[in-house]
Amino acid sequence: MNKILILLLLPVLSYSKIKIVNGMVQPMKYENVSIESFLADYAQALDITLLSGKLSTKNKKVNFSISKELPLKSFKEMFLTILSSKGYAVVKDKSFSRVISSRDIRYGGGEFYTSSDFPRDDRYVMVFHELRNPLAHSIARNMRPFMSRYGRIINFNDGHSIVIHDRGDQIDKILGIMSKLDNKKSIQTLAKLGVKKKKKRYSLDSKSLDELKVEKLKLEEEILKRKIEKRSRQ
Amino acid sequence: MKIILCLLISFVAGAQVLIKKNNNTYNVIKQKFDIKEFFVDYGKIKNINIIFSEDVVGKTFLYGKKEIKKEELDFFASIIADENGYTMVVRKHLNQIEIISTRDVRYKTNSLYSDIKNVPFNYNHVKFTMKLEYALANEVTRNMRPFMSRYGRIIDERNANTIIISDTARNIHRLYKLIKVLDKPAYVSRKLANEKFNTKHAFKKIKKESILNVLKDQHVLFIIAFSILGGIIGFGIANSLNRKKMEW
Repeated sequence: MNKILILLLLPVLSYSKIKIVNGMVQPMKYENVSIESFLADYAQALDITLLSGKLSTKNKKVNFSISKELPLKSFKEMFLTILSSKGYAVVKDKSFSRVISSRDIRYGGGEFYTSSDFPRDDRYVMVFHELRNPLAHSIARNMRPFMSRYGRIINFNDGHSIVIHDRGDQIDKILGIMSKLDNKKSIQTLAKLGVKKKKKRYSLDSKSLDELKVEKLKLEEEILKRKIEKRSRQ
Repeated sequence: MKIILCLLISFVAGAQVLIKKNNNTYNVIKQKFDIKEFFVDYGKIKNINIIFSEDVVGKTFLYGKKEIKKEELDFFASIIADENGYTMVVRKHLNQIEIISTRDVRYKTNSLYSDIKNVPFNYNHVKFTMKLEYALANEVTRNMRPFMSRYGRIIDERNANTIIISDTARNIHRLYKLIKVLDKPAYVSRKLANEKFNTKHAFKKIKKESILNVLKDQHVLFIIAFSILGGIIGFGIANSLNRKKMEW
């Protein structure tokens, strides 16, 4: 009797909750499901290989519901959003997909795209954007508060090139703000206000060691002169 | 008898291989597996010696399809190593692969490439040199640092205008794409135009000085102003006294 019960239970246990009929995901409800079983269900339903290290189980229960039939593309986006909210990111490599902690995305996750074509979902991507006006320095600095937790933004010295590493949808928003700021008026204002000079970096790249030594001697001389002046006044 | 049977079964299960070969694919039979176990099997399949530089510990979880294409087995192995903080140092001429902690990769000699076409697409650490045509190497290296992997290094050689990267092969491919987009004649012309603009419209600080500072610097003006003021006051008092005298 027990054996029969176990045999009956086995297919139920291996059965995926996610049903896909004609490219449409059927309505379903997920309540307090562990992230590992959700990943297993997802990979089984889509017939893909998902890879991960040991995932943290602390506060990582998955809860969601699909009330209407959903296209597969939207469901994939939903999957990325759920993982992103739990602090994970997906990196697609050839025929494998890796689930990694979002914090580790800086160590090489995310494909390279130009700003004209990149996925606008929760995937982490690296986007290269060219501004029409040479405002890269000020715009990159001003966009930092709008970056996501693990997003990065840098600008190059040509004044036009900006590289953003963040989630696709976040980059889309940032590019929207950038397009508003990137105009002739901003350049005119910058010309009026004046460009602040960058602080000189005393590195061996910019100056040779001898030059630095000469500068140091000059500074020391100046300090001595000032000291003598002070004493004479006293 | 039962005990012997159980022992036999457990022995067979223990000796069971992790990766099974089909025609053009490999099947991983477990969902959760030890990476040491995986690399032992990997070595057998590839007929290559595997050296573990330390006690390699780690588990990998595999969900869904557990089928690996024949040509993707090396790539899969590099992912498994990377996932657990290790990297594979491949020495083809010695027919060996060393599994080391990624932190120690700087102490090992790994492959050096100068053509991106030869760089394999996997997570093994390799070195890559790249000569820039237009952009300055030191500017590019400084800006690339946020995009390096955990133990990745990037340096520049100013005289040769060359970049040397030591990182995962996959990340090198990504960085190469970015550098290629930047390293164009337009970069130089734009940079020059930007520098011109910055010098032309440089921010000029207007010095705000207190009256005391002004007086300190301009003593002559202060003396003249003070004497005029003193004169006016003096004449004024004298006149008023004279008037009072007349009245008396």
